[in-house]
Amino acid sequence: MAAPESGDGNNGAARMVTLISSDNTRFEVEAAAASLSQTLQLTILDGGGGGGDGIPLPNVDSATLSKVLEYCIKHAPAAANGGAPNATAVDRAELERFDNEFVNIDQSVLYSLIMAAHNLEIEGLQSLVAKKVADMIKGKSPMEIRRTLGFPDPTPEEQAEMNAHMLEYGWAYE
Amino acid sequence: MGTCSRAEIMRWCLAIHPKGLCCLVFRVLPKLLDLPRSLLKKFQKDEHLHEHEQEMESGTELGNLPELSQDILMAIFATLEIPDLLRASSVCSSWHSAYTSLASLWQYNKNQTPCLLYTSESAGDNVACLYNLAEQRVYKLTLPDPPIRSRYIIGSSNGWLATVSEACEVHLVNPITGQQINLPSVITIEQVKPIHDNSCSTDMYEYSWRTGTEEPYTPSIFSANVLQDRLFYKAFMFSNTSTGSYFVVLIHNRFGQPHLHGSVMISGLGCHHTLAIWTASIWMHYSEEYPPLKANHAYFTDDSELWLGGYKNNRCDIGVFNMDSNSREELVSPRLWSNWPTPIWITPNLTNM
Repeated sequence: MAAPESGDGNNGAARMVTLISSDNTRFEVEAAAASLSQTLQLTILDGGGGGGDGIPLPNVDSATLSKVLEYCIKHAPAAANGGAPNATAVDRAELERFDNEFVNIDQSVLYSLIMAAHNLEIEGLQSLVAKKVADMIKGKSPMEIRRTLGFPDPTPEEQAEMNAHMLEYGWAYE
Repeated sequence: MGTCSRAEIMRWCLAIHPKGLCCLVFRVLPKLLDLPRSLLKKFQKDEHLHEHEQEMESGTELGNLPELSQDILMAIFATLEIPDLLRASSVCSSWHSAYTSLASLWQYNKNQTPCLLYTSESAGDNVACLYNLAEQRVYKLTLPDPPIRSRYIIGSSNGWLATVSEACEVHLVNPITGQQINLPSVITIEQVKPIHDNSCSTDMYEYSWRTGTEEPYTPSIFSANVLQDRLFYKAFMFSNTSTGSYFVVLIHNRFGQPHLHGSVMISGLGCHHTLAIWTASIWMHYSEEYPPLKANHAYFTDDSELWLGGYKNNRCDIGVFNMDSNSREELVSPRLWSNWPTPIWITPNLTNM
């Protein structure tokens, strides 16, 4: 069985793959970028996603997928260098700046991204969004966290459960 | 309970968005068929709940929090310092179960920023204060008896303190969880023999100065609280992650041995420094691992027993040493701690033994 083109861009045009969002929008993207997704990597290595086929992603809507791909395209070159051990400080600073700006988004978009990053298994994006949520939690009381993240007000039963948990490590709530 | 089971099930159904959940049920049904019938029922029930929740929340301007799976919650929680993690654990039952799973994992403490553990007269005899470098704030933890302010603190490893009480009992205590473990009695040490004397109300011990090869002095008679001061020097704890077992190494009989100096390799930003330090406990900072700490700085405390032993009011040296400018900085000003028991660095850990 012939191996598909590696698509690393060294022999002419980079190999492209097509991803199809849940609302049927087609995204054409370099295989190297899409391969940041562990979930897609095997399919792409097997030659999938090329030509008219496209890989359907029934769990990701087009708004989320375009955001995910923005991340992948930006991070693909560094990932291709094996996590960029040779990257200059400037490159690293640029990626960091990009990341900070990237997660400066509405909470609903952030939540969709969390789920997409997890399901597509994009490691860097998973930690980036996890860190963003962690930053939103830091220094806050349980009630403040609930308000920040848009939880509904707790029912009396939930409130009683929260109080019981808070008693367990009372010092952390002073 | 409903929230928790829903979150677990979400892992299987790979839902991206609550809205998409309905159609996804059909996609993941084959997967679910392998699961027990009860779970399938639960799923149906929770699915119904979810729709209800959506209706209720549809007026809010904030993004609605989807039910994050336990895996995702654990990934988020793993980046938190323990006080933040504990507060997050009380948010709802699903978050609490993610916290419980995370706490049960041995590796959890790897991302914790070290804290300075100290006591102070005003906080109370049983209270250990934890100065959290990441948050630059103090937490006050009440520890089990005997009072922490009456104990010697002889070591700190893996989030556990090793202490010696006035009755010369050695304890391991985890200040975060409050769990305390008694180590074997002091008389199990070869050089220590109990003296049974009914006329004396306190426990007395005969202490031999014998080392491996010689006995430089005649044995001494010590009461427990004198032995507390004289016997122990340091304790270290090691763990075997594969078996979950722990080892505690005690260094004692220090006056019979050549005096120990610590030597520590400190790395930072590509250059290496070796510091000879005088019986101090020091915390080294590798720049990438603990962002709240400053790179190329050594965080130190002072437990020189020649300076502090028997002189509990002597000022102990605590601060941050900047290796770039070769200068010393204060950790926090004004000083928060009593000089004794000597403050010590500790990396908080939620593990119980």
